[in-house]
Amino acid sequence: MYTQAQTEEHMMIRKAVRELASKYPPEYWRMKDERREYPEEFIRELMREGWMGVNIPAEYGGAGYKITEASIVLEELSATSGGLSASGAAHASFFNVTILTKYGNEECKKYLPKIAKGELRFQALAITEQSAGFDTPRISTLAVKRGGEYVINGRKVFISRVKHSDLMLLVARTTPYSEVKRRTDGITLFLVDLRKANDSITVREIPNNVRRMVDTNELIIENLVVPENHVIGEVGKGFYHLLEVVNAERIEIAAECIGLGRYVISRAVEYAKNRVVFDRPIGMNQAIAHPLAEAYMRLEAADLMRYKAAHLYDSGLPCGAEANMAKYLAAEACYYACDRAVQTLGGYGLSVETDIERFWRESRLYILAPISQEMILNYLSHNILGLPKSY
Amino acid sequence: MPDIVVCVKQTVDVYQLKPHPETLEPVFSQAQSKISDFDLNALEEALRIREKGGGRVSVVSAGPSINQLLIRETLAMGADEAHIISHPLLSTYDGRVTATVLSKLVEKAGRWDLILCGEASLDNSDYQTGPRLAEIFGVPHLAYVTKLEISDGRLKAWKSMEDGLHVASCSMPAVVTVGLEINTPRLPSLLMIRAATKKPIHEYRLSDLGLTEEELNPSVTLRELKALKVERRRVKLEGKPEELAEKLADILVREALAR
Ligand SMILES: Cc1cc2nc3c(=O)[nH]c(=O)nc-3n(C[C@H](O)[C@H](O)[C@H](O)COP(=O)(O)OP(=O)(O)OC[C@H]3O[C@@H](n4cnc5c(N)ncnc54)[C@H](O)[C@@H]3O)c2cc1C
Repeated sequence: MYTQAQTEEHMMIRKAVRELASKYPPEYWRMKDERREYPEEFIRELMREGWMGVNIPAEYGGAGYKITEASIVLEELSATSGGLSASGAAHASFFNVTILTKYGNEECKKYLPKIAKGELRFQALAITEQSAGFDTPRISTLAVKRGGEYVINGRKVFISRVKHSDLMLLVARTTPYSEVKRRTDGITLFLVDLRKANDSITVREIPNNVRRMVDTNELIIENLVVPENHVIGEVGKGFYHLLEVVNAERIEIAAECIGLGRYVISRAVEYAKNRVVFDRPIGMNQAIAHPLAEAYMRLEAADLMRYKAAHLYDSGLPCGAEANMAKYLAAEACYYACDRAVQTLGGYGLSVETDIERFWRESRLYILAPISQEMILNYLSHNILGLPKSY
Repeated sequence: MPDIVVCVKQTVDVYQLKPHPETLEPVFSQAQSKISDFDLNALEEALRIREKGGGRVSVVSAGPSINQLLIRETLAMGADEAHIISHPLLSTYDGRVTATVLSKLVEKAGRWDLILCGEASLDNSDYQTGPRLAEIFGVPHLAYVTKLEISDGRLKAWKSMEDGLHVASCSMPAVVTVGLEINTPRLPSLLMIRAATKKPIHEYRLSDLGLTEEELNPSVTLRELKALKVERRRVKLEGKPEELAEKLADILVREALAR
């Protein structure tokens, strides 16, 4: 059975992360958001202090913890004035390394110690394409073998942190969709060293307002050459290997949503106790109090699912349904908490100076990405409930 | 390669303490416990000495109920091992009791060249532990140290005093007490947290230390602990800004002279 009891290590990790994050005041994040600037100083410090190695095995210079602990780090990062941007600027490394550890050959694993030490960034994961959307098997970026290397061409959209990463996990077809028996076959994972990509990848930012500090980009990939030994896992089996990454990603994002959700509720509660209108604290009105209580309850429930999913993941057991449910419940609860915090703070809730409007904007992202709530319901309907497949 | 023992005290976080509105007694239930600030400076200094010259850093702590997590955090900062005792009688103590118990823990830590302590504790501010330990072990004591160096087996200490800077030196073994100015304690890094779980925390009973309950009887007892009541005078000045400034300046000067 999984347990939510915190070990001494978990408590020390939480405290250390909180203390590190507390060096970055709300003004820092507000300024970064305003300028649409990556929180470079913050990420550098996280890297320097070894936090990128949290779930990298000790033999590769990491701390050797698992997804439970990686998710705790992210939860603490988002439970600060940096919110989901603080965690979102850093999180991809934590889920990307899972696949490198599990399926990477020795050549690819050579990168792990440098990632753990904070000398290299593995912050980009390129799946999405315009013509495929959530229907990943429909991607058409194609890798063609030529001697000891692959030549890759295609277009990706909405790929985050490319401008601030050294390495990228690239999902491409080695067999075109029209030629495979099973639609999920023929997909292969490549470890791309962006420092060597030169002109073969054109990066164009797609600005958004839900995570203004973190770049999200269109990638035009033209004759990108990747050595054969940079294929991760088996050629043609990438779609199945990718589950390792996306399940970790969903658990981590659930944790981030829980971190921010709790933080935002504490801010709203503090305000509701002190703000007096109609001669009483607004928190005395159940119309203000009950939604906060409800948001709290939803977050607590989501947290149970998050720990269950993390426990299954860390035990090497199937956790697709749990990881999806954790992300769904946590994203919903966090968005609700942020929305109610805006309502509680009234006009100040929408003022830049309180940061609540930023949290509210940011929390919207995870209702849609990395997997939409609709797609999670599709998955559960078909795979868990056994209803006819709709997608 | 000096072996160092650092004394750390678990105190209530006094910054979180608020007086009860009626009794004025501090409400302890609202505050968390932490390692006394100066003691973290002492530990940091020990770690820096070890980084330069090697040696072992042990932590000792005594109290009514030691929270292992806080001790584990000192190991995560970099200490090699800990020696602790929890005993309910240690909820009331004086400088003598504290130093006696700590000296026994120091002996358990084994060979040592240097004992580092915070110059006082966050909660009681008695300034006694360091000097008393030096007395018990019959070794020199350097207090209020703001910079410390070791060369050729001797300690050289810069002490900032009210009348200026003193530079003193002594042989080891010795006791040194430090304050906040000497350094900035590090945060535990991830790998150190990981490593800390495997480091030993030795926990003792009173008899293990060769002590009896009578020896824990303090000679000084705390009778009462109350916050000072600060009443605001609520003086309201009225008039034009220029006049107000005059009046305010007058009051401030008068108050200052009255002191
Ligand atoms: C800020 C941001 C950062 C991102 N970062 C990355 C990244 O780093 N890497 C990466 O690979 N991707 C990234 N993405 C992409 C993201 O993960 C989604 O995959 C992508 O937005 C989905 O593609 P689409 O917009 O074409 O949606 P579509 O697939 O067109 O879907 C549009 C809507 O239709 C719904 N829908 C579609 N089909 C069905 C169905 N069968 N049943 C019910 N509803 C359905 C969806 O739920 C969605 O609400 C990012 C997106 C954003 C906004």
